[in-house]
Amino acid sequence: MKINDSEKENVKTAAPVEEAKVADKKEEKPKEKKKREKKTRTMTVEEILNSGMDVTQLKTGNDKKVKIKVKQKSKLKRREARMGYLFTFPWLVGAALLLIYPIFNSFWFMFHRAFAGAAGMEIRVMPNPMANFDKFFLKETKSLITLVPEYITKMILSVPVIVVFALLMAMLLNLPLKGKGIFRTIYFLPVIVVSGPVMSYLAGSGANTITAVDTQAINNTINSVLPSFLASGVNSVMNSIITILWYSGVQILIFLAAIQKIDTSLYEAAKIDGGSGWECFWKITLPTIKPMIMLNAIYTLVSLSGDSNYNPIIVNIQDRAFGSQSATYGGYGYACIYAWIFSVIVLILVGIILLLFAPKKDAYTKQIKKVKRLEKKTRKQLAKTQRRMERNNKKFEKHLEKQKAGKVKVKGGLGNE
Amino acid sequence: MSKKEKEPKQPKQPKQKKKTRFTKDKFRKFMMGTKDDLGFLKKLFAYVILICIGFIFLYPIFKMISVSMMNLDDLLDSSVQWIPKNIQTSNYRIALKALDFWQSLWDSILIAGIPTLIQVVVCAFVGYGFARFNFKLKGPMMGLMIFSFILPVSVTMIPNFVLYSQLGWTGSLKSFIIPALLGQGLKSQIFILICWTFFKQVPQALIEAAQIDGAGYFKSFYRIAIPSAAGALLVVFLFSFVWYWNEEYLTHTFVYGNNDSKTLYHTLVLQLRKFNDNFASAAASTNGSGTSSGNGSTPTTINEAYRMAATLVSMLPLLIMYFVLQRQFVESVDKTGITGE
Repeated sequence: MKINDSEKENVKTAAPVEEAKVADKKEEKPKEKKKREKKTRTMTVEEILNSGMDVTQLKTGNDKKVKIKVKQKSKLKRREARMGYLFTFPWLVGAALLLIYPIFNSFWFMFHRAFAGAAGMEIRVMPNPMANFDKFFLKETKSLITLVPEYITKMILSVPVIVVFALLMAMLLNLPLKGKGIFRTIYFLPVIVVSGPVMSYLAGSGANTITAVDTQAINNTINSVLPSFLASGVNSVMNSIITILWYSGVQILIFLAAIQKIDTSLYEAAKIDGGSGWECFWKITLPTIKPMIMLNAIYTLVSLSGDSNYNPIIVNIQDRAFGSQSATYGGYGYACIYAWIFSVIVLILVGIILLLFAPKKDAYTKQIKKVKRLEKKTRKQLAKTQRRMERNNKKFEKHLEKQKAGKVKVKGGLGNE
Repeated sequence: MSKKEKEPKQPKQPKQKKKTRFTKDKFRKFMMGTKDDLGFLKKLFAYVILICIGFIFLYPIFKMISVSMMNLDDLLDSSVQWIPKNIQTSNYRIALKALDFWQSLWDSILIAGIPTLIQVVVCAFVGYGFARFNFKLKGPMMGLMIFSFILPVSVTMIPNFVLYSQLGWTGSLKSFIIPALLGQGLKSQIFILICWTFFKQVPQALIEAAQIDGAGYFKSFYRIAIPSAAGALLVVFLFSFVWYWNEEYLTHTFVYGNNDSKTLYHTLVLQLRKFNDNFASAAASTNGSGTSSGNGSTPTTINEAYRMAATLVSMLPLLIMYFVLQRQFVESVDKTGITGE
């Protein structure tokens, strides 16, 4: 809805601008006679299109003194854009300093031998700048071919499980029950425990698995029912189901905050109209918290991917970067290659999530987008023509000069003025 | 408005009118509930699930509590599972001493609190900028932000460390504060995203109305957007605090920096890491002071019980904080009820 409105505005504002430009043109008309004297004349794309000027004519250099002006946004829009930059300014500075710089640095490391030496970071130039890459593809491809599909199936299975589980828990915690506060505190425990030093103790003492449940029986059933490539993934999820529960603390809290933000009058209205709790959930709760579901899915994916307890690839990267004693140690640049390849994979998965949850555009918005794209295209074409025209002009002038100097014979075709 | 309407809803118990005959319909209503009220069965179901899954989360904590109170004999005795034969609180006393509890608590609060406060403010600011305004570079900027979230920490960590030490930020709290100030703190991206989604849900009409009434961009931000997204800010605060509190590796590398010898900030988590070293001296001094713990076992060697006691103690402040703050959830909802019309 909101997007629609703004798009409509755009279209609306475009029309008055045109009118205004037409009015401008009336004023400009007397000037137009002095066109020859003026060096350049600025025109917007709309003006050029409206004036019935032949775009192809521009090419020939007939109307060489026209400069294309990019349509300006309304004043309010420009001010809002400025405010947008102002609000995000801290982040922009931070991104430039603490994000883009390290990223470029890491690219640079890839072509060097970088390792932690006695005096901090030591960087050596390698004889073959691609040596890291050669080594990487030689040594790691084999393990990556098995690790990456494993990782992807694990993610595809566990992310929905965590998100749905977190949503259910948040719904339950939001019910008007007695002892809500205590329950909420208990469900906050995973947030503290997972990020803290306690988790490794727990994993060590086996407290994060259900000892009572016969997982073997479950595994066998899964193996007999599902095809083998799925079964291994499902099994690993089943085996680590308790770990999965532990990792859903953050998501529960985000959902809880989101659910509580839903306007209660919506539910009241729905109830008056005879909606049941089930319908309310599907028609009110779920659509309202859809962005939160997306957010949680992304968070789950990223946090699971980055967790060394859960994802063997991260352990590999850390080994290659820091574990100078281990056999797989390859220096920092080498680890960077690994990390970048891994992040591209994660990026693709995030892209899938974004696609799944992207708001559907209606036909109207699509139409507007189409028109806008067309407009942009024409503008680009015009600018291109303009540039070509200027180039031609220069050539032509040079040519004329040369002709004046009598160095070159007159050639036909390049304007016979 | 909504406050008044909500009040009669909450205290309702399973339906039981004064003195009526017990009919099938009544029974059904009691069990399944009406539209305003959860029935007995539904409530039971909710409680059972909440308790069952809550138990999974509580199980290790219970285990830790029980282990932390055992003495060496109980630890070795395989017949003692949960309840120790004689409950020993001296474990805690020694653990507190080994952790240097009060000093490290203060350090932890400093090291988690200051960056967190800054982070909450900055993330709300940036998130509002992304949610409310349209500008040309918004798409690429958000893309870059999400990408930086995806990027494994190990990629940016070493260049960042080199940069920080060149700028002289390492070895002080600056190495936490300045990145937080620039929206690049610990997991800032997720906080910005949380704020973004919440601010996006603030009705645009409300902000426009405020602007017509003369509020500027900043005023409409902190008078309208902030109160209506209070829940989100609370969540951001909680997560940020907990994550900074528990951050062991970054604290060690950045805040400690190269001057490890200088005693800077000993957070509880770092103390926990060095617990084995600190333990011996603490145990010795406790024994030497003459107040023996009652039973004969001399705590000169470290065992699981002490470590568990120390771990529990390092988690406890977070739990208390959350228990106090979670009330705020409900209050912030009331606030949003007014504005979110």
